[in-house]
Amino acid sequence: MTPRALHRSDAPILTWRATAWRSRLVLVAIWGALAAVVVKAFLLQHVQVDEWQRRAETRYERLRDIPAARGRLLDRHGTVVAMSIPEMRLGVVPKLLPADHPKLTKLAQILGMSEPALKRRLRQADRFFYLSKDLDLGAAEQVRALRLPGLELEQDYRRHYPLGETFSNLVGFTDGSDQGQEGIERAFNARLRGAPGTERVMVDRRDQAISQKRINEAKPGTDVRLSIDASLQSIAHRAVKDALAEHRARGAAAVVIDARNGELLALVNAPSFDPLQRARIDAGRIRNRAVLDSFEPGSTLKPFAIAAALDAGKVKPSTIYDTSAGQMTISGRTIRDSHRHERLTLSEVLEKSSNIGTAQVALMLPAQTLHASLRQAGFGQSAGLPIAAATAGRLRPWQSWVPIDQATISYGHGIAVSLVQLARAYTVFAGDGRLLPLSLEPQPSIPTGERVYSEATALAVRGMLERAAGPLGTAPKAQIDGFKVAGKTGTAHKPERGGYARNRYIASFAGFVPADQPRLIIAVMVDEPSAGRHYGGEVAAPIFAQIASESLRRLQMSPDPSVRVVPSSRLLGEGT
Amino acid sequence: MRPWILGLVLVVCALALVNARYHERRLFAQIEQTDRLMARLSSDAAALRVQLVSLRAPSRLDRIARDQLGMEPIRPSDTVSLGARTP
Repeated sequence: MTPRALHRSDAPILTWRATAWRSRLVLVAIWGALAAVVVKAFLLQHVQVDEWQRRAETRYERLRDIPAARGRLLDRHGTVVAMSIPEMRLGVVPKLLPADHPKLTKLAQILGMSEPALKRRLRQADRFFYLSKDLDLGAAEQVRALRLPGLELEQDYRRHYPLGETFSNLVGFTDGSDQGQEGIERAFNARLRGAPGTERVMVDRRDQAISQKRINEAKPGTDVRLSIDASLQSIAHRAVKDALAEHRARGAAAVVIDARNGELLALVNAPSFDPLQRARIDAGRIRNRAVLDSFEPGSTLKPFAIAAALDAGKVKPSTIYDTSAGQMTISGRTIRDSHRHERLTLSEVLEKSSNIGTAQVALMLPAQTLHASLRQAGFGQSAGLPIAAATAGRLRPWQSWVPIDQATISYGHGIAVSLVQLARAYTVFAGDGRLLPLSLEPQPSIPTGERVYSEATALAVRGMLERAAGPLGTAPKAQIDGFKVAGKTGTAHKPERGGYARNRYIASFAGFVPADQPRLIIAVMVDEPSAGRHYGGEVAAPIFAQIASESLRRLQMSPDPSVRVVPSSRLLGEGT
Repeated sequence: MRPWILGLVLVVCALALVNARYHERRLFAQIEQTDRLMARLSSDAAALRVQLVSLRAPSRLDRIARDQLGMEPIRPSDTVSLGARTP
């Protein structure tokens, strides 16, 4: 057989030669692929390393905020007034959590909601939403154990106010981002607020954290200890709350100050609100009337006009004033006393609360002197509390006064003050004539204050105030057993468009106790009492007496057995 | 040294590394769990503290004393002052 006669299939060498190019092609392809892998690996490892590192970090690393606890608010004895407790917010991505998931029954149980309601919410939502914003950590653990897709747990803090409405108008509240919005929460926000931290967390493909690294530690806020005494606050709150109901009033407020150092011991309002229910209440209940609202103080201002005249040497406590006419015309306008009096000494002018007598005293002074004296007593300027939007009241410049203005301002009309301003102003009579600064925090030392009147003047007016709160004065109902009381009532018509309302009043009382060694200054205001009585001596003075009596007992001050309430049959009138 | 020994050492080291990583993650998970437990207990303690303050609130005690126990505040007229006896 000749070679030509051989078939290719019978010659393996010839067959190999015929297919060798295929093998080489495969080999080149393999080497090429390997080279591509090597090149890609090189690019990944050395050239594009930053980009891929970033992508990996984005996928497996999370930057988490660590919320910081807000500082606590404490009363002067350390009782917790407000504190933050960690809670969890449970969010859902509805696209990742099917509404027919078998574990939803258990989830609904943990959240305390009905399963159909939960499923309905999941079906209706098309984007992320919070299922619960106040989940306690135990429940959060149970939710986490379900390992449901699309659930996200975020740590948060919830503010709690264990003393409820007793403190609510004073303390205020925080918003959803833990920022103080009202009251003390807002005033001390910078100190109470903590600084959130940050942590870097590595997660696995199931989004479970596998390692973490703190970048910044969360710094909790600082605790703030207030000068407020929770017991006194409670006493005062109950007194104004009861008075609100008894007199069917629009509002009521009371302020208690330590007469020795100007510390605020209680500041209460009625109506008030439950901090946990505040979303459903009207703004009027949230308002801190004692600080934010001003009113015409009426006769509670008379001691200041009399003190200014005494201090200027224009009058003496024994100076006689003829008020027998019962009315007095100044600049074409007539002012009146509620009851006709005869000739009164200066002391009796205050004791009987004579508008005419006080106007006569005030008109003996230059307008500038009376204005300066009222200004020095704190009227027309901030009371010094750090509470936002606190009113400064209204004291018109003396240049705009005409004689009738000077007369009416002397008995508390045509001037507006806040209740804290009024209470603070009485520190001049409870002390030695100095106006003490108010404080919401305990004072390390006794402030000296600014002198307004001489010590002799302050003592003289204190004596008059004691008689005004006695059986022959306008506030016999301010008396309490065991302690001498000094103070002054006020009844003022409420201003309305272009004049004064006929039947709407503000009844007030400001005073201190014990009169011989003042410990507490208490100011009370009742807005629009409408149950038949509206005089300060009938409406506000008994509230003062209740607060004073219970507070002194709580402070364990020894009563003087010789001091007894003396009944009075005196009729109380307007201007008292 | 023979290459197979080096290979064996390499394999052992690799297994040890895997084991160490496994333990690291397990311990981390335990720490996380313990941290969460600690946070939960702290939260519970804080909630109980708040509840305690609510229960001890002067207004609540006063209401219970008056309404349920029929108590009244001490009036100065109910107080008897005794002079201290000098030795």
